Amino acid sequence: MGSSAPDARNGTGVNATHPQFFVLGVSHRTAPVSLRDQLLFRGEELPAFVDELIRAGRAGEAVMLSTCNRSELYGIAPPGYLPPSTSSESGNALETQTGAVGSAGVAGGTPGGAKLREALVAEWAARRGVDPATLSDHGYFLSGDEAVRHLFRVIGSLDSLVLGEVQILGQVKDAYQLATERGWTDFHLNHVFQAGLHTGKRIHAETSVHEGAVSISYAAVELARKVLGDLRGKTAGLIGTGEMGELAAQHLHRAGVRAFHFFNRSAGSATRLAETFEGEAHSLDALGARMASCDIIISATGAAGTVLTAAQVREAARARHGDPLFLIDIAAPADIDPAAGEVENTFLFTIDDLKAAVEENAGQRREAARAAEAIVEEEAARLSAWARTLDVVPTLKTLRERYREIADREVARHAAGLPPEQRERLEALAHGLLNKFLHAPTTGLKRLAEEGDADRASHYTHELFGLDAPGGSHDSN
Amino acid sequence: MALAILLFKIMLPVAYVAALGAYARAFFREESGGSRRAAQTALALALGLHTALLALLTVEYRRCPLWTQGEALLFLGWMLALLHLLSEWSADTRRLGFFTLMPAALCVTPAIFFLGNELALAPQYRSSWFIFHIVASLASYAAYSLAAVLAALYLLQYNKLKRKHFDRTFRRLPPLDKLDKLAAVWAFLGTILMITSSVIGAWWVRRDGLHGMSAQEAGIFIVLAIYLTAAASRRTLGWRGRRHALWVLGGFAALVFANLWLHGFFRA
Repeated sequence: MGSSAPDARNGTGVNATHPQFFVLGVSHRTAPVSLRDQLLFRGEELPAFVDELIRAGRAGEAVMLSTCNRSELYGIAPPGYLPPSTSSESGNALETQTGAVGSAGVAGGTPGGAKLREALVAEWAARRGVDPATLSDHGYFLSGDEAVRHLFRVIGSLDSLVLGEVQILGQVKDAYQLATERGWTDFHLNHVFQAGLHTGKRIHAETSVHEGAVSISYAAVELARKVLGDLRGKTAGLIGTGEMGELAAQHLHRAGVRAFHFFNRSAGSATRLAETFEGEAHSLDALGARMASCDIIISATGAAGTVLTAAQVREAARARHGDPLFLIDIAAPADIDPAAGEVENTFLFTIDDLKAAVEENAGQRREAARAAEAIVEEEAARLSAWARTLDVVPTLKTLRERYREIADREVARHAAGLPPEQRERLEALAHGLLNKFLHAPTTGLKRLAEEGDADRASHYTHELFGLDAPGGSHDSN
Repeated sequence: MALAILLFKIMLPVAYVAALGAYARAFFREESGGSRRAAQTALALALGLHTALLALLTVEYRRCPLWTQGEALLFLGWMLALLHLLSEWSADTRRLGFFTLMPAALCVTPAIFFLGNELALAPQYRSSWFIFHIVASLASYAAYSLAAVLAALYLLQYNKLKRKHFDRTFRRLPPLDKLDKLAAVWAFLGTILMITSSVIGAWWVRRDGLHGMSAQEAGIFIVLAIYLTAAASRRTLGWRGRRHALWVLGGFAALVFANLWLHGFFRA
């Protein structure tokens, strides 16, 4: 609405439906792990907190995301907080007052925003036994488009500690599902979260921001997949039972490997790991005999010399009848003779190779993140355009109701004495014409609203169609 | 009709090049969701045009468009595009579209030029058995082509793993195991189809008292022998992965040789 545009709010219901979307939270970017841990809700604490917020009127709708890297409350502000902007320059129903602070602390941009922020901070801090000032100092409060963009970036894993990690999409889905099950969400928040989840899926499908391992142990698993494909049903042998070996075993187990052989000089720790992963413990002497049955061998001993010779590997490869053998040597100094990598259908990688893969993948994720950010912008703009159309919903409703009344009245006048089937046909004709006549104004009004001219468009619609006049100016009666 | 055929002949290579371009973009660019959709749309368009052109030629010539080298190439391109689709659907090889569709595009472009340079099939060969024989034969060529593409990709990925080149192509290509198994499956299917074609051909030639074995047919038996050896050694000797890929590529090279040289393409 420009400065000369009339204010069409009074008595028209225009602008009565602004969604006041906000987020209050702390994340790995703004708060140390100790504070994040203190603010984390566990078990039934989370539902109790959100129930209380909604009951106390601090949020109209809410979704609470609580993970080890972030705790965030997304919501729709209750009436009275975060009033909609009357400025045409904002041009955006979602763009109300933005209290964005990033890592600088919580700040509401308006008295309403500050009031809501303070109330929420106080509730949250009290619930978790944290000083409200500490939460304010390490938290952020965003509203309108900034909050939408933030949510979309979170879902797209662009704000994650490890760029592109895939767990966050599932965590947001779980948080949203809990909110819908508990009845914490309604029209506006449902729309925002569904748009967010759609954005996350697009980022996943259209970019490679999540592709490529960015940790050494996971890079080993990913390389194994590149050779062997699906790891389910494969057999892994771990030489040495140190921390790295155990970590690799965990990743392999997560990837579907269920058969493990643990080889070690001392039987004790091999037995412990064998029990943990339901595998078999062997002494190093059994390596030659058992190796051929392993698809993956990871060696991580502290031995000074070679543990696995090229001849042993060649022998195992021959016994494997052409099945590929995947070897990872994460020991320093190396456990596996480098010549083993020359054996056909055998693939040997060292810790340096894994580091190179991780670096390559991290660079590729950063590159892909640019495309993901563009998707976030595109989807946020789409949501914003949708939100702006909400401004004209009351006008559209009034327009339709008014003309429906007129149509019904005319049908009643002309259908008196007609048989029921003729009356029905007349009604169908009238309503069909009504829909066709109102199609252009409806789409035009929505388009103008999307372009940020909702108030002016609503005003002129009221004027042109006589919606403010009692009975409507077009009623010939 | 002639104008429609001419129009389709112009549009078809363009559609294949567009589909290939879209698949290339989907493979080589990181942001590939939109490109993949564009590739599939372009492929659908190309395949639609291709099918329509074959149908138009059937109506125009009042026979199956399989009796000239150009027509056979056009039909082979169509089978290759169909197998590419089948591979996408059954083994999720969408990412490899640039490579698996390439043979189809390579067949279609010369086929369009050959179509105008027709060689009449000798009357004694104009039999419905010829159609069965040639369709099975072209289907086997298509399967062998797909196997060869997958085998070549296997060797590419194998070398990248051995040399530790973790570049974009490495990330885009599927696991070695998948490439190996797919190449083996398509090579095996090609062999079955080739045997079927040979049996039909032999029966037909004998029934109609046609000529004896030609040099090209002898070449095809060498091709069959290579593929059968590849399958047998894979099963019995464990010659999988790199060795199997080399056998498949060797078989394909023999197939190309048998068809291009012995069949007279290179004759002056």
